[in-house]
Amino acid sequence: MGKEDEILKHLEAADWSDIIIKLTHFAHWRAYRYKWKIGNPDQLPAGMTPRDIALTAISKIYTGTRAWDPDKYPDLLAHLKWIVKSDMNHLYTSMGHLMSGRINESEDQDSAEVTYNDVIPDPPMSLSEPAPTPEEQLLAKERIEHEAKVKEELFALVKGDEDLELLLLCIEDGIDKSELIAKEMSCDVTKVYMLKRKLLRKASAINRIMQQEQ
Amino acid sequence: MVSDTKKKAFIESFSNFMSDSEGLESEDLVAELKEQQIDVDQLKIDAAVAVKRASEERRLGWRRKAKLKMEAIENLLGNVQAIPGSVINAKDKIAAFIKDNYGLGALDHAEAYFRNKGTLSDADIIKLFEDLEQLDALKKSELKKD
Repeated sequence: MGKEDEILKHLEAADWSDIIIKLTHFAHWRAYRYKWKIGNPDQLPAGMTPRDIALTAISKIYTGTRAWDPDKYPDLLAHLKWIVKSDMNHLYTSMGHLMSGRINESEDQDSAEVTYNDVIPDPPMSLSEPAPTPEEQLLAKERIEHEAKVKEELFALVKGDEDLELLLLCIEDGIDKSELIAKEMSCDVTKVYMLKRKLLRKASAINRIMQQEQ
Repeated sequence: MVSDTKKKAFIESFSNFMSDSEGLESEDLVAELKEQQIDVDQLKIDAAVAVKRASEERRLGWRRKAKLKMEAIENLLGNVQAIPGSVINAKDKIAAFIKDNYGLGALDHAEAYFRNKGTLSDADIIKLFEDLEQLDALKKSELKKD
């Protein structure tokens, strides 16, 4: 069987109904990592939404615009997530959003996905960076204030639920993998999944908090 | 290294944690997307349409590429002297394929190719055969659809 045939067979066998839901979910939360000039992570530049980015990623992998080698990267969903990441980053940088700065700068240092061929670029982080301009300083200040406000309101949202409070403390410490959070909380990972479900049920409230003063 | 020790920002960590669907059931994600005002049924339909359209594009693209490759191999076939003995079997398969699919007239044409082959590699011949088979399978699947 030829390679082309093999790829098509993999793609045709994929459960796209399930993938599109997971990919849209991923794109939605991923969009919060950027400070969009338009102010709303659900309304991205060029009339795009996270949902559109997820659908486009599927088209790209299918048409071959984005290559996929199932032998090298057998996890199709992980590969699609990487395309979403890359496309969102490209959308952000190509629309002049760099002027506004990113909310965060330590892009997935611990993610296995960065082993893919096209590394998603990050802003430089070395100590030899030039001193920030007054505009950059202002943006950094705004970013810190936004972070603080989001954190405060998320903690307020889960107030009284000790487990969720503990979970947010782990996240505040930069621990964002379920397995590591479980270890930190001395519990089974299924409990962390359950807590994530609890948070998802508060999604609309979380959206309001995350979107403020974006 | 600075980046190794830098603590992730809160929103970054929160976004990473929430975007990971591991451990979540499909109904959790559907309920969440609905909360985001996303019509999940329509989303699935849109994905199916995107997949169908992109699949057709990929097949057309592949056919274009296969045709180009065949033309290149045909040119190569026209410029060489004799076919290597080790690929006689593949040559026979190609000849039979051409005869079955394109008739005796085409077979004469094909045999004329093989009289003038030279340094053609086994891989070239086998790849040509694969391309012809794939092209034929594609044509048959399109005929079925019609």
